[in-house]
Amino acid sequence: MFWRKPTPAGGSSHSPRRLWPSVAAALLCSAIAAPAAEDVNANAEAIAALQDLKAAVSEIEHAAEPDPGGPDHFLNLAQRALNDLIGVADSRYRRADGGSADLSGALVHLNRLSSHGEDAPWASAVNTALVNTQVAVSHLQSALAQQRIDRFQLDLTDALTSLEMALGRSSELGALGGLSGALGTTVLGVPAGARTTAACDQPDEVPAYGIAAGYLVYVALPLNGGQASLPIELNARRVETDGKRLIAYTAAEGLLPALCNRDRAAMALQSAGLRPAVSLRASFDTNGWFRGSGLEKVAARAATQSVPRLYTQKQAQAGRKIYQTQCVSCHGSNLQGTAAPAVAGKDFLETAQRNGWTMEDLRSIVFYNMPFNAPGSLSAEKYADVMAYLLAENCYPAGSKPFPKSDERTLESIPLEVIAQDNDAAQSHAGVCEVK
Amino acid sequence: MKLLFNSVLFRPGRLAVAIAGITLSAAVASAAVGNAPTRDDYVQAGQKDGYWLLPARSYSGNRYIANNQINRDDVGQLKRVWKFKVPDEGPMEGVPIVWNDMMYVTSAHDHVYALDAKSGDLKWEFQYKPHVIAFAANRGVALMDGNVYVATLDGHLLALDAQTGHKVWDQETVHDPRNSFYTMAPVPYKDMLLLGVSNGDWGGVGNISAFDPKTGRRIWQWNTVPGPGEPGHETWSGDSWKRGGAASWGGVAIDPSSDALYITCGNPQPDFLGTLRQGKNLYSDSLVALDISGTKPQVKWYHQFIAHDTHDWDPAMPPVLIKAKVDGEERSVLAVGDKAGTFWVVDASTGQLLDRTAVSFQKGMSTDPTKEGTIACPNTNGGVEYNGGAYDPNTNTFFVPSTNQCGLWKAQDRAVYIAGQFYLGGAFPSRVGPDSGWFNAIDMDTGVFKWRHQFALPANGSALVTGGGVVFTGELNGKFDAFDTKDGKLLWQYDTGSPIAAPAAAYNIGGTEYIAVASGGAGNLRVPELSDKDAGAMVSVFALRG
Repeated sequence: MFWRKPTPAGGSSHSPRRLWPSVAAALLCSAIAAPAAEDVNANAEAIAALQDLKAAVSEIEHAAEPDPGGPDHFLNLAQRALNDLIGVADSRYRRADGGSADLSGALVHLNRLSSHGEDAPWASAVNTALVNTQVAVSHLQSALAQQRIDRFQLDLTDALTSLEMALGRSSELGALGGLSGALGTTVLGVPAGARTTAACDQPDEVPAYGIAAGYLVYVALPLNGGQASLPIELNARRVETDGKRLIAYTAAEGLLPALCNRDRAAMALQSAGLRPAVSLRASFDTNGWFRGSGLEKVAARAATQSVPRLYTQKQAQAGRKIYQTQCVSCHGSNLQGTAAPAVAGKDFLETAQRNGWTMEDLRSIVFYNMPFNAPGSLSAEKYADVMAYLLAENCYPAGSKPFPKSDERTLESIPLEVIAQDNDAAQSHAGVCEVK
Repeated sequence: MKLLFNSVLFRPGRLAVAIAGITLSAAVASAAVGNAPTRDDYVQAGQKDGYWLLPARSYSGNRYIANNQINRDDVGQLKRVWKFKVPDEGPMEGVPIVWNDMMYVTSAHDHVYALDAKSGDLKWEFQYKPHVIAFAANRGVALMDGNVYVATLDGHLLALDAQTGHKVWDQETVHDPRNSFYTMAPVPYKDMLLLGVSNGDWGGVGNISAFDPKTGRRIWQWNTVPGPGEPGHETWSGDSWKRGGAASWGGVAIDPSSDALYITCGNPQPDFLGTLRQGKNLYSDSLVALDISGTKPQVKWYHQFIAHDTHDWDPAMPPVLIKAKVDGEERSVLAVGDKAGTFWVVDASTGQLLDRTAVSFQKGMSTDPTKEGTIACPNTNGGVEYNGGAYDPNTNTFFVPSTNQCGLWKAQDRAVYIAGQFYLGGAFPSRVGPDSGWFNAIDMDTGVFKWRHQFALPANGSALVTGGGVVFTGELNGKFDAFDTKDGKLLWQYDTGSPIAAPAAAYNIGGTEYIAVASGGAGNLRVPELSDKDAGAMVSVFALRG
């Protein structure tokens, strides 16, 4: 099994298929620097999350097998998968026969990582894994509430798809790589205390992890009798050997020229220190590990990292006046809906996320279908103002570029979703930012 | 993937819980069982003055009461004896259900209020906070087995204890909650609750289903769009049937002697872009007779009013099953109005069309919407709406309100399905010209108006007709009217202060006859001619003495 915590003795008894620990143990033997506490946790958290995700996938795959025991069997497997993701401490946890969930599920581990890796090269991959895991959790919850086997199966299929995206592939960099990619191509895959070396150069000593600007470029191992064990998540894209040692290059190798030329300071530092201490600390040491940031907050922050600024404050203020005359009778003065649906706040944005609405979907409804009894009756400028007002009320930040008066392709790729609010006092209703 | 309709409930765990729950509530409610309406009460609902059990009073749906305590001579003395202010915003579209001196009222967001029918005192209330897909509306409850049943805007069917309002069970019964919801009142019939889903402008396929009142389990489902291999499937080109719509959301009529269920099915989708769904698009815009005596409904006959509708002109009005004199002959017929402004009379045993009367201004009806735009009347909120009308057996007259409103339709060149949004292939039309309404008295024998009363606003207030020669209707300006059935003379009027789009109910307690009507926000019925005056959502109850 995978590690829960990195322990020096932990490697030897692990199953041969899971090769991370044994390699890490080999590398640990020659550790040269006492690790900072937070560094230890980053890798361990990621490994623990990976284990939980794989356990959940395994439960779901079992649920795809023929039914030996009726509904309870399926529901038990779905609950076990959910437990693997949320952990025992979560309020949604229910005991399930044969399950093996521990205190912290994949979500907890990914949350901790996500809270502390904002600038790390693995941040986008971990955030992707986090969001996909959250999606999987909601599908599993939905599955558990189903009464019909076909809908249960659809939910489980959706959960599985999300989990596969969360696991990702170690052959991919960035968000597409998911957790496996983060482990296989960045410093996240380096166990605490392991020897690292600047990847712009060949390693002086083996075993060692080759690092450049936070990316894991290679793993160098001694060849004992012509054999070396590679981390299975590594997915080496190229292997070099001189008979004494083996260097397995990761998917990040392609970045090497750019990284080595661009960031000379980091390179020098890494060459001197043999581990990317500064870049890791910069990512990790500003906050304590267990600082209580709830799931929603982190999920929302993952979104704010790319929150677009789509309108101007002036437009939003003009839009408010138009809303008061054209929209208020059905959507309500607080935008919570009277005869028609709410158009701001938690329910609205959660519906948008659930249904996969994009900015363009919202725009086309406002521009072409509203107001209900007189669609298309406003000028394009006024519709753009109303859009600005709706975005502002939904806590999207204003910018310098006005909301467009005609359709723009880019809106199709911007999801409509819950936006984080730093200042709770600014909100008059849950998730609504009032425009004055 | 093929949907397994009626697939077995595969959760013995929950089933066991539900059964245990029923045993319990049966024991607790043994005192209340005597209070619960029986099958006979439902079959005779049209003959008993004491209660108002079904949305349109009876399985016939005629909204007629024989009681003549309130009659053309004394209706002028009618007073409001109590008012219940509904603590929810939005339109009030439901009929109060009255049984055993209790009144059950629903609000726009699926709250349920149990009131003392004599005094208006609140006995209990049930609050709900549904996600609203498009229109906030609830059109009433059903009573059965000591429970109150309400179907919600987020696609749930709930059972509440009729004595306390406490939830007995709660089941999500729609197949896709992203585009499906309920506005209809469930209809008790034998050991079933009949319920149609609203999803016919949001990219779903309609169905009418029967649910087990004890658990919420689906007993059967009849889809309003025929799937592959079913008769009528060929009336949809390509895969268009998959988002065909034709939702049955208004209400039903039932002939208990033959287990015949009559439903109207809504418009096809995408509403305004017919090129994507060539063919007649069955059973959209149709009246369908189903035999529900077996384990699955069987189509006895259907009559399609508009083949290949491109204007959202569905026959939203619940059908009314009556014995009437038509063309000099006594026969069993169904009367239905549609949003195209046509009042139809169909033979109940064969589905043959017997008569039709235009009750709204009609224009441009045979032209499909274009990208540039075409004008047609009535608009989608025009014609005869979901609230329907009433039949007076004493004068062989059908009373139904209708709306004159024109629209400019614009089709788009494509229809994009966005989960949880309208699936129209265009936009709802913009209003063109002035709006007005009629209250029509149609002679069933000839199809000609006996009289018409014109309103300055759209008319959606249904009708309630009494043995005393009085017919009631509500107006969008908040006025509740009583007309003489003979000549349309306005006998009495009361201003509730809020738009009326709900049908009225009547009941009798201790020898006093009461008339109840709800009023509330105008919602999407709002037109420029309507003043902003709105006294909020309420139920008003009238009597000669109180």
